[in-house]
Amino acid sequence: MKILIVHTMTPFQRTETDELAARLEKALIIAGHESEALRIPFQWEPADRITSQMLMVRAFELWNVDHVIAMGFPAFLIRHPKKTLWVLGYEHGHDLIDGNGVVNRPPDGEASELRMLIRNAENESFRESRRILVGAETTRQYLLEHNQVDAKVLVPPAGGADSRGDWSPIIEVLLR
Amino acid sequence: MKLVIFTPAKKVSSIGGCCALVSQELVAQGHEVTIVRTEIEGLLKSETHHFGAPVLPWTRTHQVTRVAEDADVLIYQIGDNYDFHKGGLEWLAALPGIVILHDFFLGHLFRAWSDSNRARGVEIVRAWYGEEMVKPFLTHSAPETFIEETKDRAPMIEWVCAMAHAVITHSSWGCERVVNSCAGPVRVVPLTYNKNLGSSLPGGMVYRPPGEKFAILTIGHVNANKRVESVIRALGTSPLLGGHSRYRLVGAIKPETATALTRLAKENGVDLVVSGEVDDGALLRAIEESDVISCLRLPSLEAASGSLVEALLNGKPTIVTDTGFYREIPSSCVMKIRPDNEVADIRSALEALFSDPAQREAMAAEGQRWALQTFTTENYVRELIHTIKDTMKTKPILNAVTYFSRVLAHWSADYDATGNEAIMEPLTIFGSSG
Repeated sequence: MKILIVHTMTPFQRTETDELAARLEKALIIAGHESEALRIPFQWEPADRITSQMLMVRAFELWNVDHVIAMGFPAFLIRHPKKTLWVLGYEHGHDLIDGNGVVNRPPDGEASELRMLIRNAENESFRESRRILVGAETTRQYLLEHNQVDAKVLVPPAGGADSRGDWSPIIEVLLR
Repeated sequence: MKLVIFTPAKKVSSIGGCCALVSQELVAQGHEVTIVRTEIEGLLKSETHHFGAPVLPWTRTHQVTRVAEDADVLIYQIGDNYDFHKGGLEWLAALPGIVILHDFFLGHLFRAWSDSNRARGVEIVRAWYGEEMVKPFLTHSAPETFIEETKDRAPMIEWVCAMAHAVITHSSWGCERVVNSCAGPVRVVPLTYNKNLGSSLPGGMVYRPPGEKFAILTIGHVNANKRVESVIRALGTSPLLGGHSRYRLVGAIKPETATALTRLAKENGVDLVVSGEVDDGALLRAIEESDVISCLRLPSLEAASGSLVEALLNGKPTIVTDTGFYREIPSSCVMKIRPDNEVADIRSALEALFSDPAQREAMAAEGQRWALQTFTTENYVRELIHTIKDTMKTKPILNAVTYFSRVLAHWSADYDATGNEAIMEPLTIFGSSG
């Protein structure tokens, strides 16, 4: 199967999601699939650029892909009929928008409009996905509270492990 | 190029007449033209102008869809008359294209359309002009009151122009609202005119036997904005003109209007002739026999005036109101009347023209020369083709904006994508080639 892993990136910064995506790509290939990672540039600041970045992801058209595994916002807005979300560290970005951090809080009125827009976009993406998986119980609770989505927890294997044995059950769930 | 033009086609439609000239020229240049006539259902069998191209009624959905899908561009002639433009509105909403805008006030068109689209109509007025402007469109007030209430604050230009890929109009004075609402190119092109010139003498002057009265003429549908009352009052207060002039009205007129104006003329000692609606030949004779044509308008709502163009092309000395489209006419070609000093200005203008035949002749000749150079079909078609090419370049951007706006609307954002630089700026790559 041709499986595309889609996740966001910041140039010249390596995050845990980048590492996990690289390991997943390798694990999928070892499991006999064709796999590639599509890294989409994204950053939360400035706030008035968030919408255009979301739209850009939404406008992508994917061909020659059997299954998409999307990790993180706004990567999971990408359109594909067979899409699984694996949401990791999700609440962090949302907190920035909520101003509980507060590095990127737009003016009050705009903040609430932006929050609503992000939430509606997320919910649309959740509705069109085959499965919604999260990396931790806290993320599950967060989505339940804010998006009324009851996701399943799928904890990534510990760092460094890329043997077929560690990843087999994970891949099975991701492609189910 | 394959063009589909949505236009009123009925013989009496001045817009249809202009369009016929344009269509014939396009066909002569090798373009393929299909006309879709847009009048209300009851008028679709009336005799049409000669377009030199096949004519379809807008109600033949399958045929119109087929030619539209096969076309390079769709063009919509839009003016403030629902009976003539109903089909254009219906198709414009479904298949956007280039709008040729003939009026800078579309309140009557909108009000008639919204009679059968009430909820959507209210939504449109509210979105463009705010809640307080909804009422005038819901209550059927008298025409003058309705125009007064809406012309400045809710002229409904934006409603049509927002649906257009591009807009061509015929003067600059009302363009701000067009530019603010149409996402594509906007171009001002002088009207092309369809009437044959009469047999007027060079400069349009009339050799009048001694004793015959000085002839002043107003043409077109007689209503309050043609300022007939003001002309009567001006003549009535002029000892110079009072007994030596005749004022003639040629055009449709309501019986009660004719009665009221006749009474006013009698009270003011003015020789008024109300001729009513006449055929093209009689209209041309009326123009030939006139010494001065009054093209006064207040308020002025048109993008251009066929009557004025006709007067100038026939080499007639003309008085106009110093407003709107008329303000843009060179002052050497017409006499301009200030709206805030109307009766006095009309009187002094007519007296000057009456007493100075040389000035009258010079102004008429200059107006005729300017009109012959300006209101040409060749120029119109050239500008139309430029606009089509510009529109083709900007279409990818507009499609992208439409796509993004739809996505945003789906995400329930109260959001105008065209106002967001972060979204619009990257899209300019689509329009940079060619």
